[in-house]
Amino acid sequence: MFGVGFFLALAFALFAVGAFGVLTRRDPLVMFMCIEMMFNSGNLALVALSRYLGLASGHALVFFVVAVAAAEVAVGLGIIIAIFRTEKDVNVDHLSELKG
Amino acid sequence: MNPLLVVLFLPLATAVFNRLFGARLGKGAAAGLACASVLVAFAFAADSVLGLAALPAASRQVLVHVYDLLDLASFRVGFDLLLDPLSGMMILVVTGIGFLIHLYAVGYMHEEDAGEYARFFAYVNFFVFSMLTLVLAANFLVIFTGWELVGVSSYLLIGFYRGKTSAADAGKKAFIVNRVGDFGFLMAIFLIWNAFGSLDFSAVLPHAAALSPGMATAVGLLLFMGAAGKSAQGPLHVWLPDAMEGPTPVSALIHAATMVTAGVFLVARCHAIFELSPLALGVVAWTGALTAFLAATVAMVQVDIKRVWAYSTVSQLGYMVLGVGVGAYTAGLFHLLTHAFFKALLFLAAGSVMHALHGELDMRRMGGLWRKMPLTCATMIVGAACLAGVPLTSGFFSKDEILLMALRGPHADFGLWLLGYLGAACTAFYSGRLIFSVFFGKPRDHHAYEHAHESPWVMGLPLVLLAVGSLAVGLLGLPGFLTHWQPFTDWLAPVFADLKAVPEASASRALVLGLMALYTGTVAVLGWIAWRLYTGEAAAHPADGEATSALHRLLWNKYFFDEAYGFVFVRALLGYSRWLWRWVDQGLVDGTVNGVAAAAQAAGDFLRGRVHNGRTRQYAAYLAAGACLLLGLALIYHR
Amino acid sequence: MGLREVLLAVFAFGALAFALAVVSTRNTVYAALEFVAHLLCLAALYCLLDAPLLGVLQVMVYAGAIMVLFLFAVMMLDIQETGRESAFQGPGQVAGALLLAALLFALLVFGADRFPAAALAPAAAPGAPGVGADNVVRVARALFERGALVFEAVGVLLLTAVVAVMVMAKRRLEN
Repeated sequence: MFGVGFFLALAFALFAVGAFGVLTRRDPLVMFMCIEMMFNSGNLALVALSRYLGLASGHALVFFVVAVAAAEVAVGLGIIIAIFRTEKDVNVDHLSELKG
Repeated sequence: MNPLLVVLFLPLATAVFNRLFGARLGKGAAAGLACASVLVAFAFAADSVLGLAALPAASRQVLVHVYDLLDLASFRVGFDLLLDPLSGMMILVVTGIGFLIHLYAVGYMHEEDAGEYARFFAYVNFFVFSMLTLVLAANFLVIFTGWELVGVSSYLLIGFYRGKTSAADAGKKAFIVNRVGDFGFLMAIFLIWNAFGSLDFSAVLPHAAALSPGMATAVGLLLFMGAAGKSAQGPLHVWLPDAMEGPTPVSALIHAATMVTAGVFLVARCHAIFELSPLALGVVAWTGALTAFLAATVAMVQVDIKRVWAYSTVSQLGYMVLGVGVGAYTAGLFHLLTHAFFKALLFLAAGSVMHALHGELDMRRMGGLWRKMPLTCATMIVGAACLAGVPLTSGFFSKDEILLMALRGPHADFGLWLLGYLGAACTAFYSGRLIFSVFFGKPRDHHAYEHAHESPWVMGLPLVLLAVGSLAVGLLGLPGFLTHWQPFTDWLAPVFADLKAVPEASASRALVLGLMALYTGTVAVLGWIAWRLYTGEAAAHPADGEATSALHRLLWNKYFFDEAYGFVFVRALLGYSRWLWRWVDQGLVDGTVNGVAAAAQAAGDFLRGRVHNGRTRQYAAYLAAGACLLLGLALIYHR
Repeated sequence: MGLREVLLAVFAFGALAFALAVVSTRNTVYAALEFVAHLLCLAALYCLLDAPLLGVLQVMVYAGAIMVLFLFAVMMLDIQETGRESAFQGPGQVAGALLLAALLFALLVFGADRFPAAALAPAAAPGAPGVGADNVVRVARALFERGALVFEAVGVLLLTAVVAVMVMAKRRLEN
């Protein structure tokens, strides 16, 4: 029952849940968490396939994804706090200053 | 190392050096370097030619391979140099007369500041290199390269006084008019490549007979188109009189002695092709004769002394072209040689007058100058005598030979002779008119006269040397009935060995002597008329714009060539360009571009309000929808 | 069904359940805590899938460092104000988002199904990336041999991020 297909399906489900969260939530922090969730679904798929195929390169890829996610979180949270400092409001629906 | 390489590349090296560092070296060093390089080149050229002369006559051909320009499987062109009697003569002329003119320029250009001075000598040296490339070429690609390089140096030197609009315009005019001729030359080269699969003279010219008659005519006419542009033959002559905007030594070197003779050289070099086509030769001969006559008539009314010599040059080039056009290649080249001496001399003497009178060139404001500048006067009289064809001068012998061949040569025609003869009569008149107006009679502008002075020795020495040369060079080609010592004809004989023997015998001694008497009498009569007309106080010069007759107006305006070109080409081209600009460029091209931009902007404005609304989550939805779309497409089109 | 299967089922269910909780909770702090739980479930799954190194990494980097950052941000922002509004937009938007998410899921599943299975020949011995120390060695080889260049690039990326954050923080101090 717990073949590679199961874990891929779980990863896809997490990905869809994350996407749904990004599309519906207005709190930028929660949106961020959902984006991280989508990252993690990808990681899960990589780990599962690595095991299925007997490859260590999938693990290396996960390592990189984690590093990139860390960088992204650091910058993203910095931006969110900067916005909050100037706008006193972090509802993404109220933020449309950059639409050009 | 082959001495030819020194001859060729030494002037180039000094040109580059002077252009880069000459301004910092100072005038003396820059000029000394330039003169020395041409003198050394002359010495090496003389050495090469002497080495050539030591060979048996039939094998006087030295081929020097410098490097491969192109080496493709089926197409090979090298940077090859060919030294034969023809190019040997030319390199001696280019470096020898070139050296004298360099020497003269040392004095003439003295008032320029160091930077301009070095620039001048760099360009002149570069010209010497270009001209040597042209004459030493052993294939059509190299000769074309030299051909274009002399065009570039001519352009640079005509426009040397870059502050003057007229000089810049004259440079452009020379360059553009030459393009017309060069187009023909290039086409001829393409045809030759197509017919022979090679551009080497050695592979083309000895086998020219393989060309079909039509092809030979086409190649000949296209080659002559190039020659006419470079040698200022009508109707492409219009650039040469304007080219006198350049410094006088440049007029002497490039626009009288050497570069403009390149067309004659080209026809002589390719005579094997021209000989195949009577039509092409006829066009060459008639163009030359008409140019010789018409330019001489224009020269009769011009009052700017450099402009008189410019039209005279066009006319004399017409004689050379007439010579090669009637198959008298040796005679045409002999006139090239003598003309190089006496026309360089005349230009330098005119420059000396101009120098003495602080830039004055209008002969109506001169007169009586012989007392002030006897040396210039004497040498210019020698040059004018050669030009007019006074008996026993070099010009007499060379022009006489051409006219004789026009009357009795292999492609003779009485009309050609008549035009040549009338042109010679005009030549005698305008030569006398200029000499008498400038040096004799009473001074017409006393202020200018008082300040006139003889030029320094560095300008005088070349005048004397050229005057001696002008007289002496005639000895190389005395008429056949006087002596069997014919060094010039013998020297060139190997080059023209493929021609049928020239029927010298068809001209009886009585005819030759009669013609000579006719010329002598004509020169004497017209010289006397000029003396009567132009030595008095009220010399017969009409003022500017005052035309005494319709004929005078026609000549004064140089047959309205410039106006006709202005109307036919410039105006038409401008009109067409304006039409292109207004309708095609502004309407079609700009309309399309602006239309695309406007459409993009309108679409952007439309979408910005709806799509680009600043809502982050909506952007995320686009992203998700795009991902879905891509995934869906991948699923549909996979396999 | 052995212990491993039981644990797998539990943690898989946990990961999915906590993910849904994150998406549906209004309070940001609770959402963050649920997200930590979700990450821990994933870490456990990694360990069960013969990737103990990644499991440890997940706990340390994600559940540890990154989530601390998140909580920091939550504290610095005034969540009371944002939390007062409803977490979701109107029902139309939720339905649209649901549709998109479902479509994405369906397409991914179909895609995986259509993927040529033969190209993905399973390893002779399942779990070949090795367990324990062997796993670390193999991941290290993959990282530092074939992935050396990417590793360096990620280093540069992290440095850039650090500098960027510094710049933003500095400007805030000036203001």
